[in-house]
Amino acid sequence: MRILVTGAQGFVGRAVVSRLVSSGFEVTALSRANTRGTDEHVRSVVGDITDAASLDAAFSGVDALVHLAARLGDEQDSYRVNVEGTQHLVDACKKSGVRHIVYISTASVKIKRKGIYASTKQAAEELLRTSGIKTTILRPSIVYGDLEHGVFASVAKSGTLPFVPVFGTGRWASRPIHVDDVARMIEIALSHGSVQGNTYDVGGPDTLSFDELIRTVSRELFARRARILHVPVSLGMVAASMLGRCMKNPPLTRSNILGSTQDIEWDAGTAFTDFGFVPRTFADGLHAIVREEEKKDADVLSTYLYSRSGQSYRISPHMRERYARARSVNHVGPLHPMVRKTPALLGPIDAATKLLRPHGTFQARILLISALVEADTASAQWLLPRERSVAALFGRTLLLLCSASLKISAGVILSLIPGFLFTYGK
Amino acid sequence: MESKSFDVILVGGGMAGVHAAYPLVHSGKRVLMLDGGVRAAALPHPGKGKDFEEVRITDDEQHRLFLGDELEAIVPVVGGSHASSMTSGARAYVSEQTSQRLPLRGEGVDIVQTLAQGGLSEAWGGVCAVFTENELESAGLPVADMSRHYQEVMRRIGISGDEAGYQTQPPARITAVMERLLTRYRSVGRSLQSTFVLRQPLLGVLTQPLGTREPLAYRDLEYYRTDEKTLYRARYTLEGLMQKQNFEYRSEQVVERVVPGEEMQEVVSRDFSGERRVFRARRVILAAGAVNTTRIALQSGFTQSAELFIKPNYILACLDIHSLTQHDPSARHSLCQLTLDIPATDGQSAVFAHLYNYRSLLLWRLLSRIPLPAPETFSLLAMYAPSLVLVDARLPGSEGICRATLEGTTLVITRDTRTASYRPQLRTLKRFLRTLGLYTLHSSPQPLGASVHYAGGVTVETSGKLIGRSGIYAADSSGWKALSGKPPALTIMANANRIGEAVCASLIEE
Repeated sequence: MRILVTGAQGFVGRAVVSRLVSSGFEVTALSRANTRGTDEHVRSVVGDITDAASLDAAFSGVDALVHLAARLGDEQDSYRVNVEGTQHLVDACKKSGVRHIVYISTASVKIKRKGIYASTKQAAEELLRTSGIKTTILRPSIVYGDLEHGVFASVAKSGTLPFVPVFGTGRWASRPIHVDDVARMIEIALSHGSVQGNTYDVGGPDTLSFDELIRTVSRELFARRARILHVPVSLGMVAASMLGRCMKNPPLTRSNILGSTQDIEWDAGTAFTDFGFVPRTFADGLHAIVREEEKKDADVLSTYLYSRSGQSYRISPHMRERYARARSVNHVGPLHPMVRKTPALLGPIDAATKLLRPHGTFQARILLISALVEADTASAQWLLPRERSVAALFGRTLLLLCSASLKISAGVILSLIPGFLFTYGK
Repeated sequence: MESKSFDVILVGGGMAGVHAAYPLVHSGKRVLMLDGGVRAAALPHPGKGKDFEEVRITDDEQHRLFLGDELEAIVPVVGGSHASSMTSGARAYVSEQTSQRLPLRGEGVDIVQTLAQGGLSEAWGGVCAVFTENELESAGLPVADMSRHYQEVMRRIGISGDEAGYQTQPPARITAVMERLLTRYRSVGRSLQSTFVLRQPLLGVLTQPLGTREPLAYRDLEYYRTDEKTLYRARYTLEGLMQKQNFEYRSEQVVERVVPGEEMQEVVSRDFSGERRVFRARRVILAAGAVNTTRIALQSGFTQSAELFIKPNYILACLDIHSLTQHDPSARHSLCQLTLDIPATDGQSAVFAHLYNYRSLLLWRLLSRIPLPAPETFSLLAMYAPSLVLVDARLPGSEGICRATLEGTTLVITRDTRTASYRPQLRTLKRFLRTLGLYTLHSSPQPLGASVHYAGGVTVETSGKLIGRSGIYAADSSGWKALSGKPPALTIMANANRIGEAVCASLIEE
């Protein structure tokens, strides 16, 4: 069966494409720009849903459509993309005989006071329902899966602020669902006739208040206690309008605020029964992300180690696996998430801990990765002895000492910040 | 209850055990050896003929060779133990099972124990030395007899190097850096030459084939690969003994105590499954190494507390400025290249230093010693390590006296002298190194016990017989009254051979 996926480059889109491909579906990915085909099993077609003429090529041979593409913010062209774009797709479906559409909507179509996002999504739903083509609509609450998208990304960004702003009371009920579970539901929707044509609320098994959600994410992923500041909704709306006016991609939109402050009637249970599975718990999903994030430690540390080698380095999966093993054998914990996100901190922290905590965990980590890097063919060129002229020897020594002293100075300054080494040099 | 009886039971199959057993087995005595017998898992060996640099450049599985399958070479550094401080690679088996079966608490000392087949010879670096008369005397060993036993053991295990009065295999080739040091030493003048001796050591390494064992191939991988059997291990001798009908070997045994009797001695041993057994023999030879022979003596109630000698050592990193810009790609071995002996006035070694090239020893081990960030340190080491000479300075054990007692089943070893200062000796050593053109960059004391040279614990007659216990002998260094700075392995083996012969003679007398 051939499936056309719109928004295939997006957060949900990538998870859906990879799930469908591994389940044996033939996938056509629609994208606006010509992306280099990363996966040979995916047919990439350039097209824009706001341009009806550009869609014909994508629809050849397609049996079903998964429609994910949408403007998520309150943009000028939200209506054009979310509603008119959907109309173009419906037309193309009719033209090419596509008989089933899976549409990812949003839980916020149910809220009373709607922003641009919720109202355009609702309009699109309406349009699909009356199109005559069998449409399965999934309305997820919060979708999570990594640190780059959604509410997790917002929490990550707010790490630089002294507090995390939350609009309203913070008691808004969220039902976070892992992106892979959404992808799984889409796959089921494509292959099981019993769920097709229905509309489902889609969420995880846990209900968390927004405050709780932010506290948990902050604690598990950033090893930080979140200081939450509750901001009145009206104030937030004003701020969002102003941001929207002066920024192209504002970090906050009126739709965001409206969607995360109004409670709605919710029925996740029907989806569990009809789709025949209960999505993973928030705790499980979160731990998987933490483990996934920790795998990046080896990348960050080895890249740091190679930074004065004069050669480029690409970590191998074996190295990642070895580092994870060495870490667990030696009971060495993962890097602090802030350090992982900001590798520039590694130099100063390394320099400072070398002097102040030479037997601490941070230096143990450096030692583990060093041993592994040295027992690897990639480092041979850098570390094996070779002939050098006196000038080269002294020149390079001078250079290295300079760069070392820069790191040491930075490390000394940073370690003057109370708690800095205690938190990040752990 | 075991009904079968033996002429001799040997407790332990390390360097002392196998060489005490050797004369007994070869004169037809019925010998039982009780041993831990833990063996190394088979490691992938790099293709024959590959040297260190080739392995580094081409072998994708090199981490298994250099760090061990379980990455155990990293653990000692991170975890603070040092079962393989110099050697590295897959060495976890050397101390496998010991923390559980040989409970020990060190206070101010860090003791390495083993239940491996071949004992601590599985982790040694092969450096050998013949003791001077004074050194033998102060250890309580007979001066007259020893040279014959030295020679016999040298022939048996294959020793290379030059030693006046002994037949050995030719010395191993040394690196250009070390050749230069020797040349410089020859030109320092007679008076200085009489105050310290720089020479090529005797090495327990073959330069000519011996049986199935192969001579040095100069691949710079001696610490990591063992398939060529170039560096001597006690288990090679053990393999020979196992061919004999009158020799029985039992592994997975931990001897708890010895019960002396008129005719027959009893040995109570517990195997790894926890089952206790009693073995009987006319003689028992304790050869579990100084620490565990002491443990058995304490557990048998022979004594309430014992005195152990533990040799202190320092590691000095020296820079040979003459070789800074030169890359010497010649084939080499990674074992000890030269030794520097500073004799004291009484004929003992005041300092005995091993000199190594820092080549196939991986650089990351030095990382923590340099107070600069890791990427810069690594790059600097890559430039300067080829000119590094690592000096492992060992000092006489007379200062590192410790007390061993039992606390339940735990052996407690307490350092009971004030921390001795070796500053004068080290200053002298550094001065001599400087005359050779070696500048000390860094010197660090190793935790007491890191030398893995232990002695003392029981008192013996010259024959090796425990005083007051007829029929029980100690063939390892537990009967020694002092521990010189020199490497004791060769003397342990020669002395074990002597005691094996003495036990043999005493059996014939009866």
